[in-house]
Amino acid sequence: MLLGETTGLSEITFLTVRVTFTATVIAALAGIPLGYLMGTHEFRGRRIVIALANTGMGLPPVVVGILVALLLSRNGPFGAWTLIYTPAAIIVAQVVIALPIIAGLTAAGIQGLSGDMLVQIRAMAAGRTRTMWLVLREARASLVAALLAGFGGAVSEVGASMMVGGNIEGQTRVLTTAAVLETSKGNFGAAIGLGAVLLVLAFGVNLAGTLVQLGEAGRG
Amino acid sequence: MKNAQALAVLSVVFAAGTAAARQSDFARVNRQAAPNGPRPAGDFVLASTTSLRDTGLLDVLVKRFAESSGIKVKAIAVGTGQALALARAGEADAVVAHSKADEEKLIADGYGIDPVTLMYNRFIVVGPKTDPANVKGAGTAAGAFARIAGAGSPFVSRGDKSGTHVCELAMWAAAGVKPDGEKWYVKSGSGMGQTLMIAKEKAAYTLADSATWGAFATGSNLAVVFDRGDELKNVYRYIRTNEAKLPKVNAGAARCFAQFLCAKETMELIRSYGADKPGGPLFVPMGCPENRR
Repeated sequence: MLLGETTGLSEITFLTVRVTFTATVIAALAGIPLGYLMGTHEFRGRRIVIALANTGMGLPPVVVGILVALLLSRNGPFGAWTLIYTPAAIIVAQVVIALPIIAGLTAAGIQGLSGDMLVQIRAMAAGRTRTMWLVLREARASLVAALLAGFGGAVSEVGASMMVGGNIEGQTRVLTTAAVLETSKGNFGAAIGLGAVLLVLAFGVNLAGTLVQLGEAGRG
Repeated sequence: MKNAQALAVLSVVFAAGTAAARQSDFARVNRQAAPNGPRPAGDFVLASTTSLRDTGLLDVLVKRFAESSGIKVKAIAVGTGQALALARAGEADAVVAHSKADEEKLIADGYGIDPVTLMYNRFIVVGPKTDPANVKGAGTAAGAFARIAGAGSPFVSRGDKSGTHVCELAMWAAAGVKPDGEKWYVKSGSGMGQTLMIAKEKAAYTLADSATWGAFATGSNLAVVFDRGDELKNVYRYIRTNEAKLPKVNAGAARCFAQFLCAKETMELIRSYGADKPGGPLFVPMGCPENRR
């Protein structure tokens, strides 16, 4: 079989899921409120923040990898935390990759709501938290899309995971870095197999997200 | 309230994925190295060349050492140039490399100490089965490279400062050829596997290590065209990072690993490794002659 030569496939898949889900959740916790602020509030430097987020949506993972590696390496400013070459380091890098995507798409989704609706929500809602909740609820389809895009950006990147994780067997080897390894070994069959697992994983997550989107649209 | 279920369902999906991963033993092992904990005393960062990892031997050695010593090993496989740079910066506690001149520089500068010679395999010149440059007729490795240049046959270089690339550059120098900028000279900038792929697609010559070539040989339009002489011996050495110069390195673990590598059982493991693979066994053990002086 294609995957016969890949050792520890289930561990690699579990680690990929664990790392990328954690990174997406962290990026969402920071990115959705940030996107909400960008989409609804006027503040100084707002346009620059939006431009930064949009630039960040295209951040090359290799560049993120170099920067995070510099920060986390033994002699770097956060070296004492000893995060380099751990799953946590990959999570940090993937948060950096996913956060601008989630924030940018959240903001775009909110800006896509009609102005009347925002006025209405502001009029009827008491308090900031309530307003935010209602606005995000109206933009929920965009939020799902933002989360899926953030997840996709994180799960598919290889440059940063390779650099800050080190592709260590049994510790930081994820699906993408394992696929690169098998390619460089010349085991193209195994590399394709790993790619297939990655695709199935991404498809499953997107299918779940899409069902949530469609289900909500049907009810709303 | 129905609408709120959208986010609720989604967070359940996320939580389920995370929880499922947590349950595996593997995740538990990983959490030991999780954020904010103190650095385990035995944590050992080993920088190694990709060619060694690609054979699978690195993983086998590291696993066996970790089991017997209880030391947590982080083996990072990068090009020889980067591996030596990691040692020089004190980011790695030790390095396995196969680029003698660069290793000697690391040692001369005081960053690397106690080198031990582990093993060797061979570099081989591979090229199209038709051998348009008639490399097979060459008497020496330098002669082989001179013939490729003379015929202007396409040649794919690693171009990545790897040990293989360094050896290739030495061969061009010995042949009195400056290939840079020539039309037939292609720099892949990638690992051995991909470089062999490119050579195959372009029907070009390239310099490969025998172990990686073993995985490619079957079904390829390429063949070994030259494999003789001491110049093409690919010697691997293990070098510790000097804790006197770089105080953060884990010298204790690096010494332990040296002992492990040079042990008779490890050398026997190296001798038999890959005997069941095409072109195997992959390495000839050299038994750390430095320790016997």
